[in-house]
This record gives sequence, structure tokens and C-alpha cells, in this order.
Amino acid sequence: MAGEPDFEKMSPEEIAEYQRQNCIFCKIIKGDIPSRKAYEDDKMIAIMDINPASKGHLLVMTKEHYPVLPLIPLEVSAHMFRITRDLNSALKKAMITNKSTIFIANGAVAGQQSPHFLYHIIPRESGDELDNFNIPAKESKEEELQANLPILKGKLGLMMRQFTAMKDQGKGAGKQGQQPQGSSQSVASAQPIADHFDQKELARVIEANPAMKEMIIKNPAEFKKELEKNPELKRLFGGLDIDKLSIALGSIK
Amino acid sequence: MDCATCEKIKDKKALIVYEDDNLIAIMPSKPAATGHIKILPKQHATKLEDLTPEMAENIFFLANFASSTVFDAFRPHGTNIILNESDSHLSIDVIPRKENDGMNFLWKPKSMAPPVLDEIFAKIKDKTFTVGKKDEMKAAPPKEVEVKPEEIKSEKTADGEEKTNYLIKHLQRIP
Repeated sequence: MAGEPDFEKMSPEEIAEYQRQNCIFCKIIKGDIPSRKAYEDDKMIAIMDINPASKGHLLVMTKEHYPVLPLIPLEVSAHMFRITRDLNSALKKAMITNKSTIFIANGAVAGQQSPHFLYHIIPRESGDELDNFNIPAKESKEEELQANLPILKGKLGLMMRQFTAMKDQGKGAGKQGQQPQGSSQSVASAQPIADHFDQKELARVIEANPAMKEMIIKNPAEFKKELEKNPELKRLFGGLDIDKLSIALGSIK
Repeated sequence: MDCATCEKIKDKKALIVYEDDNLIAIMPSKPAATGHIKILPKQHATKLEDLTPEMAENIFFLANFASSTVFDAFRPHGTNIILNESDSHLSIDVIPRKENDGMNFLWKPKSMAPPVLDEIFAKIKDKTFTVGKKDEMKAAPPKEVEVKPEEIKSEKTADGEEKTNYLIKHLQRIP
């Protein structure tokens, strides 16, 4: 496209700023483009889709530009989810129906059409020809499901523990919540994910593997190579600085 | 209770990925794709508003984290998070997506003339204007709660008659 800047020469911040300035939803939020606002507060907005799936189709989004859901700060998404509950209820009353579909797409393949993260509340009624929302069910082998269970269980459990801890912390100190580690990946760029365990758990893993511990202390460069070869291990050590870890471990006798 | 889902949750007849007091995440026996996670409230509910505001918040967070988990574990190209309200047990499906996976959740957009949209908009505004207002009321708690015991004692008059508001006395009894 003509006038498109050279993204390769731009910093991530500059790219984000460019996207914001060219984002149709940011313009709608600013009021530069007119819209029908069903709900608005200081953090979020819900507007009517002008090419709706059904009567009353709303687009819910944060006022701040975030490309994906995991990048939205905790307290903002918490507020948005609570408002969604009440907004959905009010919308159904307005459209005289008792059903709706809430649809979220992460990534273009899933149907995300806008670089400004948003989701859809779509009022439903019988015979509305929106059967596409029905969830497909495929025959699957029990063993295959069983095999995937531990991976999902460990990771999701960890994220929920971090989330609960952060929420409790936020309540005490009025601190601004951040998303737990590991939820910060961008769909578009698929950056490496810093979802290392908390330090206690990591310390336990290191203590249980003396050979690994020795390698980290004596040969951090070699250990970094090992990490590259082993994605599981790399995930465990996520964003950690191995050189610093090597010095730290070496100093504990 | 005639809900088959409630029975399954009670008997734990599922591959449970996560569970807490109120919510449960499972791997459906007939998934849409590898890594499909289904999230349900343990208590029977069919509509989003049947959940408390806090549970509604948490169920979406759980779905969001399930999506991140699936991204990590299976490296899909995207995920869908879908809540279809019906008359049966409420659930949110988190579905990993890949190029050419044969799934399509997208709808055919309807074109509606501006006057039609305006008419619908008027109906919506008529119901949504109170949304978020209840939160403001909660944000300003009643003042009685902040009254300290010393302040209550000092309200005794010279002749020893206790003038303490019975409501405040009642509050003191609450541990």
C-alpha cells in the first residue's frame, strides 16, 4: 500500500503508535468517526456493529488500544468482563430474547478482523441462521486427551494461582494489576514466552537436578545452548537471565 | 436436579484441567480440536447474569488464561472463546485454531439501513443506560461502617444515657 512506512526500521513502540493513529476504532472512541454507543465509561466502550450478525450486535472494546486480550491490564479486563455481564443482560431485554452469543477471536485465523482487540455480543433467537456458532464435536481417543491433560493442567493451574495472588495483592495495596506471566504473548508476532515458574518452584527443580545445577554454575553458555535445544526447559526458565542465575547459584554454598 | 452436566461435575466424570470453588475447566470427550477446553460454573446456571459479577469476571479470566495455556502448549495460529447461552448448563469453549482446520464460526454480516439501526439503538439505550451505575453505589460504602468503637462510646451523654444508634451497636456485634 502506498504511504505504508517501513516497519522493519521502526521500534515496537513506533509500530504500536502507527497502529493507534491508523486504527478505525481509536478514531471511533475519540469521536472522529460517528458511532452508536450503547455503553461508555472511562475504560471501555460498546458500540453497535453497522453490519451486524443479528439485531443488536454489539462490539465491546477498551478505550486504550491493545492488539490482543492478554495484553489488557488486569483491572481493565476485570471491569470489562463485569460490565459485559450487565450489558449482555440489558441487551437481551432490549431485543426481547433470552439468549446471546459472546464471541472472542484471538488471531486472524480465528476471525480477529481488527488490530484493536474487541469482542462481540450477539443477541440470538431460534431460527436466526447463526448455527455457525455451534461448537463442533469430533470423535477423539481417550488416550490422546489423557496425554495432553498434564501439560494444560500444570500451566493453567499456575496462571490461575498467579492471578489469584495478584488479585489479593491488588486488593491490599490498591496496586495496578498486570497480567500473570505467560499471558503476554502477542498472537501476531508469537514472541518467546516468559512463563517461567515462580522462583520457589524453579529452585526446587534446580535442587532436584544436581547435574543441571552444576552446568548452570560452571558453564552458563553451554546451558543456554541446552535451553535452545529443549523447549520444555526453555519454557521453565522463561525470561530468566542465565548469567545472573549462574552467579546467584554459585554464590550459595 | 435434571441437569446431566451438573451430575457429571458432581461425579467428576471428566478430564479436569482446572477447578476451584466455583469454576471448573475440562477437556471435552468430543473436542472441536486438540487442546479444546470447556469452562463451566459448578453451580447450575444457564445465562451469564445467573453468575455473580465476580464469577462472571473470573469465568472470562479463566477462559483468557486457558487460551494462553493452549497457545503455549499447542502453538495454534489463533483461538476462539465462545459463550453460547442456551437453556442448558452455561459453558465457555476455548478452541485452538489453525489455518485450514475446517472450522468457521464467522457469520454473514447483514446490511441494515441507518434508520433501522437507529430504531434498534433507541431500544438498546433504553435498557443499557443503567449498566455500570450499580457499581458507583457500591464504590461509596455507607458511613456507619467506618465508625470506630471509641467514637461510639463518646456518644454517651452526661446523665449516662446511651444514645448510640442501635444500628451501630448491631454492627459492633458482627465479628
